[in-house]
Amino acid sequence: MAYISLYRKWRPQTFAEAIGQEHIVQTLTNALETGRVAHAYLFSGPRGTGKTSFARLLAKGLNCVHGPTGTPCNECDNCIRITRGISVDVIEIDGASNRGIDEIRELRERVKYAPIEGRHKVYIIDEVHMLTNEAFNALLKVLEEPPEHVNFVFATTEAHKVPATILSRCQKFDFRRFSTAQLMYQLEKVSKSEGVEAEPQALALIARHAEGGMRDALAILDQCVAANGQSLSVSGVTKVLGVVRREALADLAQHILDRNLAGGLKLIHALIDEGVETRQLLKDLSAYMRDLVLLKAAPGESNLVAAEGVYLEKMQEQVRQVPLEQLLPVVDTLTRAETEMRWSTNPALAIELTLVKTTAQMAESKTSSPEVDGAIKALEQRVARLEEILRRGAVSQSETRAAAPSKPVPSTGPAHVERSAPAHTMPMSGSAPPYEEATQRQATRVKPAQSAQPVHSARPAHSAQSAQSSQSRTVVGSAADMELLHTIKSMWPDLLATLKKERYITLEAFLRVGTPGQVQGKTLVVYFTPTHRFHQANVEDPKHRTIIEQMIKRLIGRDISIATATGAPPAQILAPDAKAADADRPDAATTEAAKMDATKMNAGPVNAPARGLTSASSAAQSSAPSGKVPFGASTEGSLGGISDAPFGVAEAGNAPSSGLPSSKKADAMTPVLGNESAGKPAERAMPSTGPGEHVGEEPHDHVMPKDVFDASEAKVDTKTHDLDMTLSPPTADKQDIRQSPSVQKALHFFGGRIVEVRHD
Amino acid sequence: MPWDIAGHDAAVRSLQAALISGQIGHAYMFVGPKGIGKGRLALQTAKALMCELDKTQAPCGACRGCRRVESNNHPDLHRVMPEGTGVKIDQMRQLQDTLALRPYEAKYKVVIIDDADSLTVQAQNSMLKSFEEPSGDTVYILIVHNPDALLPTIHSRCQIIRLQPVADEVVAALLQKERGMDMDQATLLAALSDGRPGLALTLDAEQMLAQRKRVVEWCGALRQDGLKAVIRIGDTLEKDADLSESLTALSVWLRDLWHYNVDPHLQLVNRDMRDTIAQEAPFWRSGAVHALSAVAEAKNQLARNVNRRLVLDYMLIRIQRGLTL
Repeated sequence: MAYISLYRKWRPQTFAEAIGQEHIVQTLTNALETGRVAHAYLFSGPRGTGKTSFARLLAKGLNCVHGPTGTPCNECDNCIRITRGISVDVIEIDGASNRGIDEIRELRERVKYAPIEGRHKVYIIDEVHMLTNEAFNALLKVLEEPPEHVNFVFATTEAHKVPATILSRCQKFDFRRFSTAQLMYQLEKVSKSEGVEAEPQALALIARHAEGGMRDALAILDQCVAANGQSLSVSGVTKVLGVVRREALADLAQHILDRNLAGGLKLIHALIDEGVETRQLLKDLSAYMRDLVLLKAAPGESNLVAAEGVYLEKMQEQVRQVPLEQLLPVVDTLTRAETEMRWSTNPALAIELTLVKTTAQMAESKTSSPEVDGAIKALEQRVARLEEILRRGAVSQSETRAAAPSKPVPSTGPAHVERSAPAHTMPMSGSAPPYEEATQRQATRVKPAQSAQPVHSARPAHSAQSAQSSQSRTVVGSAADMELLHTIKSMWPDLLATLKKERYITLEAFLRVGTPGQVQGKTLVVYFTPTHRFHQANVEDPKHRTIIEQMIKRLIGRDISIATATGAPPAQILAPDAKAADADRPDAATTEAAKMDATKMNAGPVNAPARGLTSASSAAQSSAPSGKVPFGASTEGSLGGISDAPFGVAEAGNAPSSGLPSSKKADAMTPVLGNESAGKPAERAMPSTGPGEHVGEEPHDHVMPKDVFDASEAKVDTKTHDLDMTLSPPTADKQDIRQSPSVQKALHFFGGRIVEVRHD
Repeated sequence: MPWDIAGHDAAVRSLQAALISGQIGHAYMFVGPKGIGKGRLALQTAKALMCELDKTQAPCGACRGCRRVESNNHPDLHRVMPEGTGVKIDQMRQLQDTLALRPYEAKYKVVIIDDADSLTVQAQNSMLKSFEEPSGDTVYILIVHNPDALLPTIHSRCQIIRLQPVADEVVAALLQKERGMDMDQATLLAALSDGRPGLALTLDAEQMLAQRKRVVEWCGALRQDGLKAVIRIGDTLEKDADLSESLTALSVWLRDLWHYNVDPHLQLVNRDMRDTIAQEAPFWRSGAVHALSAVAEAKNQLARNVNRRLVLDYMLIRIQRGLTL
């Protein structure tokens, strides 16, 4: 008789011998003892978990001369014959090779004959998932009501391939993978009985490699014994399995952490020469990295990691060297490489390139993180500084205002200086509404316009520059803006597709290179890279813009106007208090009382007087029509705010048409923050503020010059905005304002190309 | 006693140990890239099992049994080859029928399944029972290039023997013996064959050298002439009858350039051209890795029947662009 492999030799011969699967042992023995054995069972589970063995055990239990019993004797003729596989009453069918309807028909013919030796005929159909559909259906009747003496046992690794009609006729048992400890236990038992001296670590390695399959574990043991003789060491197992030595793996991981490409390559070559398989190497390496991630993420749970002793210590030391964010992309790359390697014709090259990628990832994150940290720190400092300035400024403002409201406030300190720096004009173009409408808008928002200036003026020039250079620009937006932006972004492809479908093919091409980057109120800012100036100009064409706006309205049912900007879109973040502001927004609800409240509250500490602001307020209070303020003031250059205004009103003079494009290009990269977003926090400061006097007419449609803005100054803007509210006459009559000639003139300048800002 | 095979000492030792102890598994899987010697090893194992000189544990190569295995004539040796695209379930059924019989003259029936990774899923499933508990004295040997193509249930039933690249010196010695090459040529071919003696034996030294010369010239041209070179090389490659070999040669060369840049002490394939590599390498400092990825991707796309010219042009442009980074 030829040599019988260990996994066959060590099949459990009694239920008691079976390791694991206690839930199934219990159920089956009980069924056998109480005579409640079902006529059909389906055993499913991964390879090497005991399905076939249990099927045979069940047959033995039924046919043992002492049975039906949960403890077959293994001594009677029936038991022995079943063990040897020669019992005529236990019919084991290979479902994968006898998978047709003809085989099943034959089976049906034979089922009716009574058993010869035992009490039951047991049909074991292994790999039942391979039966054809017809074969399954042919089984249905006999499976539902088989003759009394017949039991079916189906075994499969892929229960999902078995039709539901079969499943419902069977009792289904799910076999579980063995734990490493269970595999170890059995491996120890087997090796002891086989006279093999095995290092525990060697067995542990086998158990880990078997991945829960007892057959795998015993087959590997078999192979190791065959290759190494009766004593088994870790190195022997390592060789047979082609796995990578633990030390080598740790070294390789270290090379990646150190971004030592040359060292890594050398090690890989050495390992390949040593006989390590490349696939295995990649698999082990990604398992190792995964363990590092686990250790990092859950430092207390080192038992999750397949390492102990010195190896574990080494890993813990490595984990200390890197942050989690660096490890994750590496694991990601390795896992992807694992799947890609299946199709690779040159695995050695593939693993080398993977090494390059991972070391590069390490390098990237390692160099960039301090920079980012630094940038964040710098921003934090600046915010702190500005807050400080603001506080001081607020005090002095309130004081000065009490004394001489119409004079510039001298004590604005550094803010003052920063503010007066030349403006980086935001190239921004709004939709071109009909003149009438524009007039109306302009009129309704005169007060906000006035109030907005300090917002602009508060922007220190250097911050704008740094914002320009910084990659991660952010602007603050209200929750509604964010939501709208999200909506727009998700419908953007639809928009492009619709444009194309409707034959606006060129327009689609222009728009496609743009990125919807920001929403303020009802305006969407589309960003173009500086190389796409031509596209941008075309999108800005009023004719085109109207088409796009109509299209957007059709798609999301809202009036959105389009503006464009050059540069990468900033990340729009939620204003810290935008949510509450939003709650306030449902406009018309705001009452006169609320307005009053707001006014009262604002009358309190007046903050952050900008030079521009003060002159603006003085202008306003010297009974000049408020609409005029921005323009008049700006010409004097004292109004920092207006020189920040997008359209370079100050220098545009009488030639708005020429002024527009030039200013548009002036500062392509500067991030934008809507006054909207600036305005929001302001409202938070006075919770009950509502749309105020604008309610009736166009509560959401106040047009406001757009400003260049840096996130770090959000606070400043907030405060200055408060101030605006106070300064503007609370009872300003919009009708009057609208008709004022200066407003008309202003509107003419703006030509409607203004970003609208909701200022409610 | 040594087996008549180049390299694979570890595999041979473990098989020998099994023969000595009589613990011969019923199913083996020999895994490794094409041309590494899996077939050769399978044949040698069959010989060892069928050798009439007992107790040698290595095939004598002279007895009737060994000779008949060598000439594929042994009645107890069954070889299964893919029919069409793969090994079909009908072939397996046939096999099972013949295996039900006892061996004619040897102690074992040996089944060698070539390209076993091309077994269809049905065929694999149909063999599960046989692999698990074969009738009597059958030894299955599966020759597998890509083990992932086989079901895990097959894996767990086999003893897996992985064949590793053979050392260059061994391959060179083999080439000298078998093909009568001189030392230099043999060493070069051995290096180019990537540790695969079977491949080395089929390689044509002249052709390989010509191939390499072309590749070196291309790389130089891509560096100097830019896009003009792209078009010219694209023309040549498009008409290349053995495109995949040319691309392999290209990636071997690029890999040397890259390795030299990373660390000049890394072992190179084209050792004889170290000087040229040292000259060229600095220009490929950032370009080599890009180029390698481009070539690998192009190979992938060609395997999927993407327009040949487009793939090649794109690849060449990417290589060229990588150089200017």
